[in-house]
Amino acid sequence: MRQTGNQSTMASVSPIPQIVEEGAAVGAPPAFARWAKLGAWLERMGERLNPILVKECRQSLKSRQFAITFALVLAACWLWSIFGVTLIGPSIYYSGAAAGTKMFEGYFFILAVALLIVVPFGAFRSLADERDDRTFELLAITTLRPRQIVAGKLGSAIIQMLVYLSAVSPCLGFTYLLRGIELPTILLALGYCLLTSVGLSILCLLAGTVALARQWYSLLSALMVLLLIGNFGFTISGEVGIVMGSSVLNYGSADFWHAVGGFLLAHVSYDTLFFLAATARLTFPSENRSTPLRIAMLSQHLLLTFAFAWFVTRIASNATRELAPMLIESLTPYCILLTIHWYVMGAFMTGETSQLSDRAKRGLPQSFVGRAILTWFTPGSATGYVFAVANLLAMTLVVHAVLLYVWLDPGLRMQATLSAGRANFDRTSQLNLLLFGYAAFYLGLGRIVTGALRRVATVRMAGAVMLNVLLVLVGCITPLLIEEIFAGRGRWSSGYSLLYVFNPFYSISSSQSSALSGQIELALVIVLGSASVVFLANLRAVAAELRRTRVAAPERVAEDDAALAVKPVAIPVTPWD
Amino acid sequence: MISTPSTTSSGPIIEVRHLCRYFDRAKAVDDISFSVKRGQVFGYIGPNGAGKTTSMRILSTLDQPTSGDAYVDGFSVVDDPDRVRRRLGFMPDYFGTYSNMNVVEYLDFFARSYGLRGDDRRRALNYVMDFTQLESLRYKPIGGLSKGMKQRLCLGRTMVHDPAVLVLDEPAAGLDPRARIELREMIGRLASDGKTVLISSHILTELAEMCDIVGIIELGKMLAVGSVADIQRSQQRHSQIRVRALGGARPLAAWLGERDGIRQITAEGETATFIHDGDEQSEADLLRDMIAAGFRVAAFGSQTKSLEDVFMQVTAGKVQ
Repeated sequence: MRQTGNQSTMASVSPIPQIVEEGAAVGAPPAFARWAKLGAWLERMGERLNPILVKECRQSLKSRQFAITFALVLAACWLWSIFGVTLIGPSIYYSGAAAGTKMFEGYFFILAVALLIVVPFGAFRSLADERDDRTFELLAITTLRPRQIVAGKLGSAIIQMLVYLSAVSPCLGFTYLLRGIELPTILLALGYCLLTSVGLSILCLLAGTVALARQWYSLLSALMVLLLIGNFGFTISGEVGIVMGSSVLNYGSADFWHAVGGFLLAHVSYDTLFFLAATARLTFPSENRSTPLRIAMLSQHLLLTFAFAWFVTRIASNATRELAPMLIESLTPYCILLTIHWYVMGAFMTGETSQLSDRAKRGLPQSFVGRAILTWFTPGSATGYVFAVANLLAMTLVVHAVLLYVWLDPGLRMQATLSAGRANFDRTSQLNLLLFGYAAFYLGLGRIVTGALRRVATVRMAGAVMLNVLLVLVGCITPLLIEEIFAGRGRWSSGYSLLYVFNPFYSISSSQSSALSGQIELALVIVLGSASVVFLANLRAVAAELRRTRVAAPERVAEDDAALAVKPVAIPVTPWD
Repeated sequence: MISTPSTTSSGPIIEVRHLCRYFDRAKAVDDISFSVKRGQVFGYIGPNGAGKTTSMRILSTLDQPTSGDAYVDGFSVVDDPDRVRRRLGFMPDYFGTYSNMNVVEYLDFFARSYGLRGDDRRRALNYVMDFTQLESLRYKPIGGLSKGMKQRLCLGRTMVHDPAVLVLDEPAAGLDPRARIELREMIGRLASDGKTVLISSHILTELAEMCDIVGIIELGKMLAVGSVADIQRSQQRHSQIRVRALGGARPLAAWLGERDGIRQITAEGETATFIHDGDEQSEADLLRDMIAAGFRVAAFGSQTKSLEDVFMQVTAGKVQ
């Protein structure tokens, strides 16, 4: 049996089984024929399903854990139905306002246990089981792509969610019939729960990819249990908020749906990022694992910026100009969110190695414009550093553009300076520049230290990320120690001084105090100066990564690609073919 | 439909070039190179911890080399693992079976995972079931299979996508004699079907029968590669020769004692036994001289070393 003729050889050894689906339709009564056609169609669709999804469904629906959980969910619903109705008593017939809500909360709690704890932890376990059963390696060497593996596991989790939801749905319908709770509120609460469950399942799958290494398993299991239980309380309180606040929620308002859309987008964007991260962890090391993640990070930045731009245009409209101070204030969370985003992502990106495999080099941009724009999306710690700094710089430009826009518009400026004069503008600008400076400084320093350590020891990405965190901690703790040693116990609490210039948290919180404006301005100069020095120190590594050029795929790969591109010749199977 | 490899390289199907794999300071694989031609059965021999499994895992794209590379059908295991995976089936030294699954579901899952769809998949499953004789156990839960049956199932899984290369790590380990013989027969059938098989085993007699070439590895280094006969010859710098001379062996023994490169001569009746330092050519010269000297030689034979003897001679019994 050779490669070139594998199918035909198999056929010669083992005759082709008769295909019965289509034959069954011929000559059968119309009703049966329709069913046979449907069966054949379903089978064809089944062929397209993700193999992992098929396997996981086969396994999990037969598993004892699923059977027990499903039975418990049903039993709990029955018990709550009896207990709840008994509790409400005869008033159930006329005081429906409270009855529906009360019963819904009970059912939601039962459903949430399955959706927010059992299903996500099952997703985490499903990857860990692959390690325990020693099947992961067998899976890894198939032609399945890592994306298919993660998507299959996620698909199985979603199917389990839907099975649990379908089991509880008659009870939820019952709460609507009791009155007191509107259909949009029920759907909103369920959507919120399902979305959270999907997000948690993806996060658990990401943790599961890390837990494939035995040393992380116990720690991550404990962390996941804590996260799921903690999140359970949070989601339940969110649901209570939705149900309790349903009377004030205006489902007809565009703002309400904009807010829901924004929440949904933010959720989906992080779900996508975690999904891609889980996929990257399962991808073979020589492949380019970084570019899809960088695209996702940038997309999140753009999403937040577009949401913010939408907010700015709303405020800038004539009807809401009195909200101009709020516009300036809203720049603070925008800056903080994006700085955290890019600092965390930057810590991972600067933890990448500078070596690029030949495989990854095959996809490097070639043209001048391509190299100028797309090089920053290619793997490498230096390109990652520049990518993070460039995005932080873009954030700074957006913030200052908004400040300038408000300042140049007399109406908006008047509203924005009514209470505190120019101070709001200055503080926001300082905060933004401090955030930018600290992130650029610590990320750059982290990259340099990691690179130096890698010359003498193996530093993995997790180690590089920890190193970044450690540097910030050193920046925070060192001034305290210095003051403790030189000024004596208790003196360090005297207030902000330039000794604390590398403590980002203290400097940023102090930047909001007008009394310290002089010191903060000096701190800002030092931080931006240090960030510039660190950036320049990184330029050599950046230049080295920029010099990488595309390598051609080996001839053998080109041959194979050409052969795969040729469609196979259809083999005639009937006299009419 | 699976992206069935439709081209083949003209060179060796497996080529390992200066492969190294270090785990901190331990050199699991240390600069090994060898190649295997299409359709050959390559036996990988070495003591436990010699680096067999590590190099097989690298070849199967489960691990990355510290340096060097390996090629399967011309594709690098480092840079083109996806193309290698389409052409290679790996059977590790563990079963790797799923719970809550029966035999056909298990094979069906792996067939789907290799991209086989519709009739192609059904044909592949039927072929594999037939080949491994698991048809009667089609719906049996995997948990209830015997070790031998599980090993067959794993072989079936390895070959379900019809790979050109099969890498089998200790496939006969822990099997009873019957299961071992059946497995050997199956591997023999695969080889006769033109598959390239790279197999590691501790049962050297079986390997000697099965393999076209063998590689002996110890402490991560490849000590010898070649056909069993070649290795035997290269390792055999001296041979034990037995000669039957009509009319008595004592004069022959005396004659032999005067020659260089001959030692430990014993004579008993018509048979003389001695150690001869030299290659096959030198043995032929000795026989010619013996006849020329007037001895009536009725039998002349040198005892070749078995693969086990060669293995013991080549390796020092060290492990990492």
